[in-house]
Amino acid sequence: MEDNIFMEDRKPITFEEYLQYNPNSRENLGEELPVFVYRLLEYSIRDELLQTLGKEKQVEIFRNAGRKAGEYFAKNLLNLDQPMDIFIAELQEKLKSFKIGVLRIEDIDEENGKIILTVSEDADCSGLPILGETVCNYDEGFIAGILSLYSGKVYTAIEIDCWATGGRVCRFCAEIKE
Amino acid sequence: MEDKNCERLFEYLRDILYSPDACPLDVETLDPPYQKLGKGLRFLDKSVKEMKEYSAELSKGNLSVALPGRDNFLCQNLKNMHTNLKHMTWQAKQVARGDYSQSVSYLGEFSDAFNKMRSQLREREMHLQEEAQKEKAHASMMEGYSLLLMELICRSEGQILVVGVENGQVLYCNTKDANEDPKTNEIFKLCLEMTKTAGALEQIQEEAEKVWEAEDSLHRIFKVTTGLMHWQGELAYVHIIREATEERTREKKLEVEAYHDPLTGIHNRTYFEEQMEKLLERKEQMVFCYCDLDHLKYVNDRYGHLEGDRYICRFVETVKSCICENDLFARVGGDEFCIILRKCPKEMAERKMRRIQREFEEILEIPYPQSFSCGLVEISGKNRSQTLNEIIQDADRAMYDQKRNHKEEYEK
Repeated sequence: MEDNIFMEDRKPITFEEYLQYNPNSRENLGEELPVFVYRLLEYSIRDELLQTLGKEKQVEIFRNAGRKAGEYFAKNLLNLDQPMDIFIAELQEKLKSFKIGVLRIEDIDEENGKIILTVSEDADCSGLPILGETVCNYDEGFIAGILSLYSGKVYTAIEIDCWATGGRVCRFCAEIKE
Repeated sequence: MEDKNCERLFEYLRDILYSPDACPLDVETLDPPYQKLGKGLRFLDKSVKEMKEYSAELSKGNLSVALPGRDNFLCQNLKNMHTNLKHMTWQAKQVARGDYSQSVSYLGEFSDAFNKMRSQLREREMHLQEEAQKEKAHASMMEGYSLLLMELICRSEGQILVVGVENGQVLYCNTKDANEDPKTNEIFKLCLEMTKTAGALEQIQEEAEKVWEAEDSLHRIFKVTTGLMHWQGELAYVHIIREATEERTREKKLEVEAYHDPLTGIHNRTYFEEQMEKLLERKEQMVFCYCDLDHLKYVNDRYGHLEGDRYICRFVETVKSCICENDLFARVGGDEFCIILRKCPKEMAERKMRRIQREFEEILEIPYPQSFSCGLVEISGKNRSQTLNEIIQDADRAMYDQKRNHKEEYEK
């Protein structure tokens, strides 16, 4: 078979292009997937990365991927030109409506920008058995990406508590990277 | 041996539950088969103690308490509750600073109560803001009115004195001199006296004001408008005082101009007619004398109008020097004059007029003969029925008889 001449000069497909799908394409099954399918995808990739590249690299890749997703989410689904209070309220509502998790703010230090927040019923980890370590590295990047894009400052987020460490919510500490 | 180990472990379990201050189990004192169980109970002991301390702090509302270790699973729900309490605290703080955009989800009755409270607070605040806006607009409008009023008061030359009806106290005074005591101001004193004088201002109602005048020791005239109003909840008289000295002077000048002949200074026709009507009303006894200056036209034509004026003035001075103060003397036309000799019999009046005619004719150093003709009508008090016009006509006829004689004599 001859090469497809139309695809010869095609640029590499971008992350954004993958997300420009037709949401009505699954006319019978609809947009939503069970959490199981989401986790099947996430943990299979996680395991493969862990086996192939080691834990440190796997965590780094998950955080980076989460940050990319968070930035995309913030840019396309949130209004970034509004006061912090209203932005947080909108973020809570969006995370709830996308069934990502229930975001709750514990504290915001307005002087240094440090935010303590929790996500309950988290899509990545709720109901996991106790594994003795936090597993929501993708969420860490996702939260950091959203806050970075909103504030214009580079945020990092670290998970303090997780279902996998025996918690009932995921607790994150987000701080501006010095 | 088995019983002893079991007994110790059982007692330790009892201590964990009921005697938290008891010493921890020394696992080494147990026989080896029981040491693993002993270690498990030690871990349980530690977890229970940590849970009790943690829950005690939470029950006191200490949300800053350190979290228990991750491997203490007894604290899972407490940590979750701790998280929720911290979140609710943050939410409450947000509401306290006016952020009504937050809502609480999936926290049972608290979510419902909090979200309802938040929406009600938002509605109330919006309502209050609307009210505040209205009040602000109203206050701004009132401030504008107040400024306008103060500007008008400042520009007004009048002074304003507000005096309480009940106690006569000065409630407001816009005296120009801030150091001036209203009680020492002469006109203010008059106003205060007026306020205190029983019955003086009784007829004043809130819709009706009284206008009165007062004069001070410097003979300045003041026009005072006194009204009744409520001043800061108290019924009060408001005196608006305006100096009217110039106004009165102007009025007097106008009156003089309206009733006097500008050349001679004696009264004019208007004044004469008004006074005559009054005298006739009173049915006084008097003699009406109608005078006409002889050959004034000749003097004007021959010697000029200035001389004609002098001729008139000499006549007036001559008459004025011969009549009484109560008599009435007026110029009613160019060369026509009327004299009212009051309470004077006709014979006496005729003698008086003849004397005046003589005196006038005898004035020397005049290049032309000067004389006047006159006709007299007696107005005999209560029996008179003639009108002013009829009287004038009678006197005019008598005057012309005399004028004819004068003419004939002059032509000789």
